[in-house]
Amino acid sequence: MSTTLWIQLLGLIFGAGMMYFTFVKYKRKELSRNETLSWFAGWTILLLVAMRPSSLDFFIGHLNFYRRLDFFVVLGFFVLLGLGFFNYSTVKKMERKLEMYVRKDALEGIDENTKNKN
Amino acid sequence: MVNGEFREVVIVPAYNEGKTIFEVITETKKFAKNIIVIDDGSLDNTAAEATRAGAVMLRHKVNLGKGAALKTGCDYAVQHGAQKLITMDADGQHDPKEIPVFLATLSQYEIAFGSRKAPKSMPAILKFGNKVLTKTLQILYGVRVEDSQCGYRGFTAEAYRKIRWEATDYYVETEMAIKAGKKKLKHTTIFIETIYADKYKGTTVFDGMIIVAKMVGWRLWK
Repeated sequence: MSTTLWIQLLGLIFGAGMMYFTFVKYKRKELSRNETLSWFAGWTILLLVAMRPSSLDFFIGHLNFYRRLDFFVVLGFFVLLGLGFFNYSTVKKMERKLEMYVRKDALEGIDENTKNKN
Repeated sequence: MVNGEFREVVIVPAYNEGKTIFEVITETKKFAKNIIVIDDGSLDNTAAEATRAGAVMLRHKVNLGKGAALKTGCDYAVQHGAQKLITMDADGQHDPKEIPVFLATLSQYEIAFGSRKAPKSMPAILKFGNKVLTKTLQILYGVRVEDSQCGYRGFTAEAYRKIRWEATDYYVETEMAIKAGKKKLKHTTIFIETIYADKYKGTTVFDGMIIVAKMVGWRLWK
């Protein structure tokens, strides 16, 4: 089996696995219908590219990449960096909200306790 | 719970300090009437022990970090009319006997930074880490603080309003010092004795690396 076929096979297994996990998350109601569809669209593109790597040739030719894999790696980095930034900003936002609510609860809670004791 | 003379307040953030907090509060009460303990989402009996010892209890339902706990305590104290605030650790490493020294110093200065005398019981990694962090702070910000990570500090309510920090973690002490330097607050150092019982608590090497990274980041972007 050639190296390209192995990579294609890994891509197919990964894509199919992620589709399964996305579906499980949907069934557990952790993802909405639209979110599930968006992720499914992403995994479908990955599966299509894994099955037919030549479908990338149009972009590779225009962007002057030497190999398909080079294009895929560069694209993968962009996607990862974007997701990394998105995750960072989401976690920061949640941290700030959590801090605000927990501190507010602590400050209001003591007043209630003091009132009850007096 | 809140004493009528709520002018001088000791603030003690605590996380899983059930073994030490009762004694720390009992000893501290000999030198200060008003003690606020912020239980930062402890999983043990810290809150019950602190209440039993007679401290005003504030409770974070989830663990937010030392900086957030200190801020909750200081906000509460200032909202209730406190004029002088002392912060100390809940693990018993700070001797409450120094409280009168801090309070007296705050009559002349806006902030008093505690500085540990580095006893033999202080773990070597902490000694080294403290030196690196303090030196980095001095080089990057020009703040003359002897011990950038010591949690035993005192400041006036007015100074607190100027240095009110954003940090929720162990960066709080560093941010305090940086802001004190930037706002040109009148500060001094008080050398204190420390007792180390648990070398696995407090700032870790990883925390130290994050603090250095944040100091560099703040210098570049803030």
